[in-house]
Amino acid sequence: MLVNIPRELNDLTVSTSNKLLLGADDSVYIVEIPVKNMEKIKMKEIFRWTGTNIISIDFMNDKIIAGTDRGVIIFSNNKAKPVWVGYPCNVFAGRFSDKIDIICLAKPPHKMSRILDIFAFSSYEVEFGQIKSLKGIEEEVVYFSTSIGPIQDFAFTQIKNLAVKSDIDNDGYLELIIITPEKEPKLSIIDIVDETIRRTEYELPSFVGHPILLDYKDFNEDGEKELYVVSMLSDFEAVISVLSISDNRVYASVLTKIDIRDLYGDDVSDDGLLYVFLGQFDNDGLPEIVGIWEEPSEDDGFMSKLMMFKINILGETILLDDRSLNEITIKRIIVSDIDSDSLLELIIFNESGFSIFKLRDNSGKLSVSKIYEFRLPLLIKSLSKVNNSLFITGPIATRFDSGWSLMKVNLDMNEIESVGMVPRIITLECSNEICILVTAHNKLYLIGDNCLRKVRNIFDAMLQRNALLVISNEELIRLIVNSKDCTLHRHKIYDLSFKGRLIRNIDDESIYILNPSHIISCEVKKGEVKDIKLSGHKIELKNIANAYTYREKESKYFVLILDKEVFVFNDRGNVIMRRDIMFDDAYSLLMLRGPKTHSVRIVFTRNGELYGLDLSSGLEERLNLDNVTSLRLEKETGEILVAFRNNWIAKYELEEIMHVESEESGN
Amino acid sequence: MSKVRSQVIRFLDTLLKSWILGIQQRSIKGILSIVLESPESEKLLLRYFITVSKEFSRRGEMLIGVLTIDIKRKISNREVSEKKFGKYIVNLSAFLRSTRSGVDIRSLHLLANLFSDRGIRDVIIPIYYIPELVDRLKPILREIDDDLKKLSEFNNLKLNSLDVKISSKKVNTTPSDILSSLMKIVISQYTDISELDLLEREIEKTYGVLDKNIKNKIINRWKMSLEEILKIVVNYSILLFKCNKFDQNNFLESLSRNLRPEKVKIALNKFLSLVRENLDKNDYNEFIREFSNVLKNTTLQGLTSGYDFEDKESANLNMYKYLRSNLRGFSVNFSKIIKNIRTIGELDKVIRTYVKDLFLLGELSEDDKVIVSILLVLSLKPSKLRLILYDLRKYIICEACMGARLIDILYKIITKPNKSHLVETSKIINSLVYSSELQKETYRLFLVLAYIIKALVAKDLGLEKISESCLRTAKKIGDIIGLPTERLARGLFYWSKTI
Repeated sequence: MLVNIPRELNDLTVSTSNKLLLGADDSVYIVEIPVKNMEKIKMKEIFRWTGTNIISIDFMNDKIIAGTDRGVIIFSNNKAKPVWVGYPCNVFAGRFSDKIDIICLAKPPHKMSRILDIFAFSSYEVEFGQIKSLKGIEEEVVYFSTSIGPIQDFAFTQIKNLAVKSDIDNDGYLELIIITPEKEPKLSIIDIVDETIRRTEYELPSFVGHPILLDYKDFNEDGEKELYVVSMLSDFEAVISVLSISDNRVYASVLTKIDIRDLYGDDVSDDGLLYVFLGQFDNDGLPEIVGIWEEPSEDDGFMSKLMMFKINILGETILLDDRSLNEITIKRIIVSDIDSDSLLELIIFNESGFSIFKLRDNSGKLSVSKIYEFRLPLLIKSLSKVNNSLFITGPIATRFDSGWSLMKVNLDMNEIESVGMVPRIITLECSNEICILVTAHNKLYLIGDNCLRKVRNIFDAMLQRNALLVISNEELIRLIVNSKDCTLHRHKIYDLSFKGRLIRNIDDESIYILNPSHIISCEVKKGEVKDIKLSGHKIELKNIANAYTYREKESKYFVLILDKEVFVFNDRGNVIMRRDIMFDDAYSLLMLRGPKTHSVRIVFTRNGELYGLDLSSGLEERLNLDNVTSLRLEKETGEILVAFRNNWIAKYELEEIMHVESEESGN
Repeated sequence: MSKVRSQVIRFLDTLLKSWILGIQQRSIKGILSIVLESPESEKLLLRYFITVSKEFSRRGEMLIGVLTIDIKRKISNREVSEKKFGKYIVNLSAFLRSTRSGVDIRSLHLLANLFSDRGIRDVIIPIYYIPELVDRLKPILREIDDDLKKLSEFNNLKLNSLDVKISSKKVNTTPSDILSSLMKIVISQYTDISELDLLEREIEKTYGVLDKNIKNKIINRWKMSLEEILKIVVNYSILLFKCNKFDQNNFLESLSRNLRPEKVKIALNKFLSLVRENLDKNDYNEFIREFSNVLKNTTLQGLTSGYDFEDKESANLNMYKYLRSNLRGFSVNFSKIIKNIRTIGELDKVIRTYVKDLFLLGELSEDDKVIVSILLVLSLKPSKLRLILYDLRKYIICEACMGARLIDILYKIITKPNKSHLVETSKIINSLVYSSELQKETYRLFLVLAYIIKALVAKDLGLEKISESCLRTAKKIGDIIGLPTERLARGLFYWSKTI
């Protein structure tokens, strides 16, 4: 395996000012936010524990604690070790007492679904290199008033917003404060005293019901932290209350109320969600309440419309300048000063990555800018390797054309870098010096050493040894690209009267262009242009998944792979073979010469399973691999890069994936 | 209804309500004596022996127990005729439950809790239950009226004199005590707009933000109860003032006891303005006429003649020209106000006079007056703050208002700052930040001052970071509203060194 790209993102937490910890699949990654805006976000795997699913992460000193679906893993001194094997849990790390530094809230499957277990134990007892079972202390809390509903999911997503660790009693040790997500919530303070869990539970007034956030922060800039809770009074109304504890009672008083309909009228969606945070976000020098109303975008269920507003300390509400932003549906919002400017940023974490927003107050007008965006593909649809770098791309959501993530993986460093977002990609190719991609919106992206350039009106492009062939505005053009600064030198080869497609030549560098009824052969060196008329066929270019040409015994053959059929033409334009074919998409389609016999084959996937179609025999064979989403043949090395449904990328030698029997049968 | 009959009913109505609301004791016995005179100058003595027992206990929203009213009538002219009316047992709580909607009950409960939380426990039947009380007294008054109707000799009589006296031997109270007690209730619970602000703030802070319907009900009942109790107090006053044996000195002594001597003038002034604003002109004029007679030849004489802002000299008028309701534009005019005051004379004297006269201004709320006084002293003569705080304590009536809370904290700082003062200032800050109340400049000024006070307390406790943070925030808010916070902070810090 070369690398795996995280697919199921579960938790994100800020470790230091510009570093985030991402828990995804079975791994924990460190995500580095560049100090300078021009640089790219980089991500590196820290550790993995195969067979688990990381649910939550926390850290302390030099240790990373991961709560998984099967217990707790500690990573320290470059080693990961399971310290408690049990059931799904959320972890909180810190100095809770001299000995206890981990508390986890776990959902035991054998207990009533209303109950969460609190486990507390010490990471100091972990001895790496030998298995030692930790003796934890345990207490249970009735966390949900009802056992109905998706409690499991809730417990591991929402609870992160309803629990906060802080030294609330100023005894030098942390306490874990949790609020139950009910109509009549209870506040629990979990304090570790003499190695026992002391849980104090407080009743709260009804207006604190249905809490969505509990936090302990200095929201009024008076130098002291306050405990506050944001509660939903109804679908559109939230109340922010300050909680103070004295005489064994919790006193709640309301800071303010937010009614979304007062801000945006009655047009707001019934399916909206409100997120509210307190702190210093913008440049007005004072703290504020920042609210985000998220409602489904009308165009696409995957996207959300975000309407942001702030309430300043003087109680004035200021709406976002541009009224709304479009973002991928929010999973969780984390606030942190990610760029060390003493102001908080909003990190919007979602299924595909995160966006970081910065707020500004321009004399009473609120503006929001996205300063970073990090998106991981849901599926890898296209990939290409150059030296020790691997370029990969894929949609960030199913059937999502306008947002494909482009990433670069440094295989030496095992480092994943976000290059950016592009529209759906048709072609991705890399040479030693440059990478090109052509998008569905007819744009060409050139990616050099440290440059990225976009060229419009490019309908197809293909890398040749030292140049780039493109079809642009009914012209065939050769572009010489300087990989240092992405500057271009343009040389027109041929005037076309159509916007054709380039045919991939697997044997030599002759250029063939396909238009609806012709194949144009351009022998550039000889200056010859030959027109091959395809007998009796008019082909819709948009239906072409791919077009190849190959040479066999001095003859040229053209293979056109359409949606559901394959045509093989000879160089006179006659069909010599036609065959029905069912394949997933153009991204998992290859034409190559098989090992040993060098017979030409089309390799494709059907429902993720790999198949080969021998063009000389017409036989279709099931090959070795499953769950494949993308294939790439690296011409220079002969390796086949394969991306799998779980976003693993591996390289194979040709023989590894081809059946010897099928080779023989092909003969 | 004959005139005399309606007068008798009115007297009884007033007396019953006043005694039920105003007495502190569990039970009281008293007599209303009315001397009626026929055209032939023949006199008839009509007496009502009234016993009111309140077997209530109130815990927050819970009103438990009953009110028992026992009335006996005696007429003496040539012969003596007696009538004992039935014993009326009023269960207000049950009555409420049976007649009101759920929203009504909830809003009343909230109102009860609100007053209870604020420590207002000096009356057993909360005044916001007056509408229910009025309803429950109707059958009693109807029965008395029916009785009077049967007395044929009543038709040609007219009122000659009347008297009210407390007959309980065990109770050391007088009808005048009940009047001053009622006045205190009115003044302490219904001072001015600060009180309404406070009520709204408390509702929002304590109960979450309420349903608008419930909130409006609470506010309306608050206003309705104010009007009703003002009517009761005014009618009871008139009743007492008409009594032959009414003792002017006893009444004034009782007022001083209930309202504190230094506050009597301000409190009565406030009471008169409440009567003027809330009752109709005839009732007001009748009351003023009677009340003027009572105050004649006392130090309070002239109070009823409309002593207020308009009568001040024009030089002083200039001092207050930038003070508008809710202190609109106060911050931006702050330097002009300071300049004006400086031009008047020696600051030591001017400041005290300024603050004293400020409290007689009708347009401003008590919170307006308190914050203006403190800010001006801090800017002009911080060393006088202690003295001004002492004066302010004498003048303020609403003890649960923001101004009173701030004065209290400043006073406590004088002794020795401790952590609880930090907590108190935090509570004030938290009750104001992000609230719509800050649309009023008064409370923006309170917020700035609360931050500065917290900075001072924190500094004294050696909590430098908190102190710096508070000062920084106060300055930023001050910059927004145009208030020179550094000058105020300097003044407060200087004052703390001198105390």
